[in-house]
Amino acid sequence: MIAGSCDTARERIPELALGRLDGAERAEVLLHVHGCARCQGILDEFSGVADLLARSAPEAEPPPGFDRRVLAAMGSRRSGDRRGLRRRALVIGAVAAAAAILSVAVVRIVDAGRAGDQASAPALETAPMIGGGGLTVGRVVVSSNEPASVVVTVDYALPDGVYRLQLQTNTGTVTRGVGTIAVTGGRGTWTGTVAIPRTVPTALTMVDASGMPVCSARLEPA
Amino acid sequence: MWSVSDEALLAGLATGDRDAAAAFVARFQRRVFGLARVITGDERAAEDVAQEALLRAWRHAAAYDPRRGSVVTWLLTITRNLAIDSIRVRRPTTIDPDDVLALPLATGERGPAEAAELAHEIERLRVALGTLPPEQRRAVVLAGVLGLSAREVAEREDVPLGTAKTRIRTAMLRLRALLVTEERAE
Repeated sequence: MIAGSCDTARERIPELALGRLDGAERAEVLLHVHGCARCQGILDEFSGVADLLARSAPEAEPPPGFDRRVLAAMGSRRSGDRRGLRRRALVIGAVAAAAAILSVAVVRIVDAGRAGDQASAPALETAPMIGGGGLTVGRVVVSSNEPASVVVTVDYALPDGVYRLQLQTNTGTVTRGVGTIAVTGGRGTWTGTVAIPRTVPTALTMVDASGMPVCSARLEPA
Repeated sequence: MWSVSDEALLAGLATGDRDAAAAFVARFQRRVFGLARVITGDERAAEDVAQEALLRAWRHAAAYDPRRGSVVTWLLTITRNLAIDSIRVRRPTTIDPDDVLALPLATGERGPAEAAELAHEIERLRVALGTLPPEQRRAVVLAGVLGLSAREVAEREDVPLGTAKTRIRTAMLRLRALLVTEERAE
């Protein structure tokens, strides 16, 4: 039995091929296409067009040594030095919303420095936001000061919707109502200040409307 | 090494093979960096985005799903999302979609045969795009090349979301009709 109608699927196939269909819609079309050879053929043709559009993007020579830096980062991350990874992630401006995240976070750090209540700016720590199947769906950047400045960014594989943020320590203490993050077009960002327990491992989790956790970042004690 | 398909290279990357990683980076770094630079308009930001895109491809190589597009499309989608996020707070994408396709396409590390084939395909695409009404051409370039969502296209072009979706869909239908029909005739 084929899921859904061909008409509905074909209406959405061009956007699917462009990679601009998210969450439930994408799953629905893929389910239909999987059981319909004709629609699979149409998807293949649209994918060819989308691929050609993608390939038409202009190319440019990256700065000298770029490839060596990327391969070195792969090697160092493979080594499992997580502490080094976090530091390095900051140095290379690693993550998706690099400019967005760091501009927000750095502003907070500069402000904290100006306040004169710390000898130096607080450090920043980045942790991956892990979703179903171990997939990295985003990241969390946390400052070391108290309460911590926190930026949560998700940009991959989550259905659109509004999610609640909550903290849970490994001793079972749960703090709900940390904030809400709206995911639109597969992406969402939340910024705020949070009192994070610093003595035990703590998970910052996104939960959906039904209360099910969808992804989580593990924050290690300082 | 260059005769290895993109999919095979990605599979090697997923296993942690160093040679595959080096070949993958060499093959795609110009495309990734070029796209990141067009979207961010900033050399340094583009380098950060390009590096993270390649690292993310390496981390998620095993999760690649060919049903959702080719390796290039997948990798450039990652790059676009990262680049768009990086500029979201700073400024909107300012490049004119009509200017994008006029930018040079470097031959990079490709062999002469592959470079010639790609140049031919891009030329066909540009001709096909030239036959579209301007509003459809702009919409499909914004979505297909710069990676904007239909909602972002609507905001950028100052039209309702439904209009943006229709423009993208109609343009894709026309491109498919032109390119696939031409391909069958060749």
